[in-house]
Amino acid sequence: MIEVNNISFKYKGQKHLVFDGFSLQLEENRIYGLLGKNGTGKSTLLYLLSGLLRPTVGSVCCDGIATNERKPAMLQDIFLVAEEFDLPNVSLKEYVSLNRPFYPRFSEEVLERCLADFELSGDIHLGELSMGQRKKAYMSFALATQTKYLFMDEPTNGLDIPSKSQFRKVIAQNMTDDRMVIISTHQVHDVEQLLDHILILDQRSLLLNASVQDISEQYTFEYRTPQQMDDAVLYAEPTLQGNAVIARRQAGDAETQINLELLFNYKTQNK
Amino acid sequence: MNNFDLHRFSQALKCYFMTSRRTWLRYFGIFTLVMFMADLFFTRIQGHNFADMVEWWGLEEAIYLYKDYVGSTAVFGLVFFFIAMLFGASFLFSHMKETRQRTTYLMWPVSNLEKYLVPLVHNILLLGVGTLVAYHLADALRVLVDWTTGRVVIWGSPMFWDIVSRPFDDSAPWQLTAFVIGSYLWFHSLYILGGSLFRRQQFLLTSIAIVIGFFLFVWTTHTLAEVSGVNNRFEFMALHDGVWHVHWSYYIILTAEYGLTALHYWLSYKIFCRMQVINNKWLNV
Repeated sequence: MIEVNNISFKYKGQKHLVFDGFSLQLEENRIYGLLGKNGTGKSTLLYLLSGLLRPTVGSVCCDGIATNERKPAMLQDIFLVAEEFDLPNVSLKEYVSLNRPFYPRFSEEVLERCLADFELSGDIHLGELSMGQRKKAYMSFALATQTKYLFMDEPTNGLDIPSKSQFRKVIAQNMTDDRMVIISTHQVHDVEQLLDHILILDQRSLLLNASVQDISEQYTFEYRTPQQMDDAVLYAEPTLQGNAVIARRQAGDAETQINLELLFNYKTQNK
Repeated sequence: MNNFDLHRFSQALKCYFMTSRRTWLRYFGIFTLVMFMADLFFTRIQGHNFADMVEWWGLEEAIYLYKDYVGSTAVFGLVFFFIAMLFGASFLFSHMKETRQRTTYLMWPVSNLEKYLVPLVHNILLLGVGTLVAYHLADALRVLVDWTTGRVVIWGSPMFWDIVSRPFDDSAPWQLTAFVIGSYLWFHSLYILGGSLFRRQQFLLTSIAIVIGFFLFVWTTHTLAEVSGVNNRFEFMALHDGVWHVHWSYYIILTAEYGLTALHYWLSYKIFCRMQVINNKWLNV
């Protein structure tokens, strides 16, 4: 479990606080979607969770250990796939053989399966790949480490259309009961079928912290004609198919697929 | 889990060396080329032409003078070695300049101490051993050029080691050896500290800081001496009539030198432990 306890954080040289008295509890066996407008602190939160930044006040603990201590036992259990990452100019095989000793639960089988899903060969050279291929190779390695906590910052950026569904497949296949995945993204359509908990960040605080199940129980997401608009409608956006609507779910209403973009707009515009 | 695990450290060191091998091979090539060019400069461009010297003063005298030229290459090699070591010290964390590099390195599942020691050992070995090997290789190339062009074959390598061993030979007191080693380590530790503190232009900024610090120290002691009327000029160690005389103040200076060296290394490690993925633009704080 990761506990964020009443943290405040600001970057040096900046006046405004990114987080102020912010608390959060994250649990295993969930895929969190971390959403927010630009500059609301999504990447900063991932850095704080990984121990790459130190809160000015409060603490971030991973299984009871302060993450900013960066202890090897903790780092063996956390993998951060940053939006921009550094890979050495070596073959994948060499990269794996040099780095796998640091991850006790590393699985060659998972690596091979992820590479196959991403349509990558095991004989690739990391210095000769395109940005998207490098990202897929890196994510395959990240999943193969089998760390308990996997944080991904804009994982689908730079991936082509088939790779986005491949990404969803590899994440879903490698999700285990003791694992927690946090995906920070603006590309909500790429991941909305994958997530089971939504976090929407606003300036310094959380606008939404709810499971997909809770959201589905509370709201319906549908298209309605102007004549169908009633008091249950909480938010609507005109589209070519009619009004995209979030409405209060009432007894007897069928469960609908969550429209994450609509939910995000509703929450950010009605705060 | 311990802050230092020898097995994990050796794995980390191996990983670091193997993934940076293109860099150190490139450095090794550059060092060899620079020293070879310097060797050619000292033996062929500066001073007299060897054939002219033979013609003017005879072979024996020409060889004697040519040995001096080759000796200059050894001095250059030694100066290059010391500067390269300081350069390497100031570039201790140059592999963490970008945010993406920093993220990868800081998330590596090894302890802070191991993460600190890996680039330290890497840079000392790479620049120490690399520079020495490059010097000898450049010397061998220079000898090959001399031999193929019909010059006398005089190796610079024994002269290099002769200069290096002088503070350690039997005629030198242990105080001199300890002071020479201590002074070098003190400089090295200053560049290590500068390399940890400054995020950009580490070598330049550290050198400037040392020069400013030196001038401030001299100015302060000079002013204090003038105000108090105390003589601030004394010899803590001097060679008179072939005998080394060591003043008691030498031991205070030596203790301060080693103490400050240890303090610099420790401060550098502490700065590293506090490094974050996004720091000040110029300083790692």
